[in-house]
Amino acid sequence: MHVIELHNVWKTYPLGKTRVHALRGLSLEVKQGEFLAIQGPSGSGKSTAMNIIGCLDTPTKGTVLLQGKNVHSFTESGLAQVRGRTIGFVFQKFNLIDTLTALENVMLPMVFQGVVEQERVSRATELLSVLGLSDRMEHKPSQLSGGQQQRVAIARSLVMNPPMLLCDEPTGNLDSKTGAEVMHLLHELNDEGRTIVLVTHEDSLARTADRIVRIRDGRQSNGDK
Amino acid sequence: MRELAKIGLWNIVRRKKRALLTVLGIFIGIAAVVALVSIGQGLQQSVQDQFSKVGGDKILVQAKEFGVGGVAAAGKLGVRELDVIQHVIGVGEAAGGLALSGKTRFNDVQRTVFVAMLPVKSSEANLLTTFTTWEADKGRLLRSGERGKVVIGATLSSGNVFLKDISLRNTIVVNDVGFDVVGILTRTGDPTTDSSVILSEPDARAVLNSSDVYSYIVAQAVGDPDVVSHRVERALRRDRHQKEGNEDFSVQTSTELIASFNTVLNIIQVIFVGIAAISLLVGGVGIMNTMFTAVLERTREIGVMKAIGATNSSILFVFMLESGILGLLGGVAGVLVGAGIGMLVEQVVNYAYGAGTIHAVFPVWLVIGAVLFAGVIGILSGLLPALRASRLSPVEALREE
Repeated sequence: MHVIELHNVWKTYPLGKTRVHALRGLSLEVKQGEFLAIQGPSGSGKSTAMNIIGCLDTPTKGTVLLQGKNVHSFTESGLAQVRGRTIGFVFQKFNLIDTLTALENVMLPMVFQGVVEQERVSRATELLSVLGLSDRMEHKPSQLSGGQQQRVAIARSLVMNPPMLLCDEPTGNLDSKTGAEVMHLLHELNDEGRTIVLVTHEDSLARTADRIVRIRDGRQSNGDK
Repeated sequence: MRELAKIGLWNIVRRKKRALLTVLGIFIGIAAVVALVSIGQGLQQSVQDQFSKVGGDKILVQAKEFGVGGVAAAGKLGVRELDVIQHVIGVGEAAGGLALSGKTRFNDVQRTVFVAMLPVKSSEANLLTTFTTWEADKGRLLRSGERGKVVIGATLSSGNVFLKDISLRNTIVVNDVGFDVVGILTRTGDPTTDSSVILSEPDARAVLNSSDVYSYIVAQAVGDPDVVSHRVERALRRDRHQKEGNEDFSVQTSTELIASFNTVLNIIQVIFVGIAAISLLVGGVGIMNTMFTAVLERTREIGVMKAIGATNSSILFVFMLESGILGLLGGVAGVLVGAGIGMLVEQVVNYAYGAGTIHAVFPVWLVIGAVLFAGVIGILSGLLPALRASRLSPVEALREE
């Protein structure tokens, strides 16, 4: 079973009196354990594809199967719950909650899943230590460097032990050295068996993946690497 | 849920100035309510205390036109009326009282004060003493028929009126006749009594040059006061050949008296609390406005939380908690300051009119109720913004810069 499958997915947005087709029949699947890059220039429909793959949005037409289940069969809250368990998000702008400490940020997904406090603390502490942030746990995001913030975000994405990480330009706001470190970390996680989906416009980053899906004008432009 | 609660709390701390301004409306409203109700309750309680001293079996008869002191009115009460009332079945005892103005001089200062009198007959004197709640704070009360002596009200004894304290054994002049002070009354809270001089009936009649009029007549009912009060009314009507509804006198039981006083007090309280409620409403709108702003500012944060698994109800909880806390903060501050204002008013009034005039009371229901009410206003005001936040689509929210 694939982690996620898109079958002939269309996404249409109304724009004034006309309609914009962000996706025009996109089909792809994410296989268990692979490192998949979704590459496309801005305006290609890449972000829309990411939203659909991340189950943040539902298609106008077509089917999305999350671990074999149609996402349309979930309620909004039900989907949020499943999303929280199945997909770990890593964003370009880190998107940490700036009022919470690093530790609390990592604990937050577990709050939404109803994990008891004791376990929340131990799991978050362990992950942050593994990622080399044991001395930064009580720091607020504003007190952390970009690379540190992204590592906290990665810890947050891993804390529910989801089968898939969805990374949207994870190095976009980092200098090249730190960016390389983050990419290295993602590959390590992939080596440990985690499925990684990397959404990027940079060809050089995409080339490090096992497989590249190139998106142009809302559909896949070529096959596997 | 602690992390969620912390998100809400932290946002208040982070925007201290805004939070402060936001809760101002609630704060003012609650402070006003607490101050007013505490004083209103204090007044009501002192009226209740007074009532229990007077007793529920008293019936008060007054001339209608001028109320107390209306001896010149058409419906004046005199010895004849007292006699009629004394013979009504169910009336145990009846006594006439005076509250007329007289010129009083002490320390070369002349003031117009109320002149009251104590009847000669001791049973009548006792009834009137109970009804007026005269009690000697210093010295003693008059003995029935005692001449040349005076008992004065608490306000007169303090230096405020005659620019010098009046003590026992001082002499004061009432309408050019000198009297020795033998007693000073305990403060009653009733301004008429507190600025009265009490003479024995013959002395009072002499200085006031009034032979047989009364300002009011008090009767003590044996049995149901309402029934007796109707009988008194009927007897006076027959004696005066008046039709029902056209009487020139009024008859009230002490229960009716306190009820009408409480009604007035309640109306005043309701009006003022109503005005304070406007402030609460404005305060609620202020909280709503702040929360809408917060939702706009934190749209991206909401998107992130939804992406990592927050359900709509989790988001709703964060924002409702935040607005609820804003309300509670306003409530707590309002109760504290309102209590302060209540006590300050108590101090000022008691300084101006003598100790024990009013007493601000803070019942537990007022304190807890005011805080909870403020919290509820906060939660209700936060409802719409929180709903908007919870219904944001994660995609739209994450796109926000």
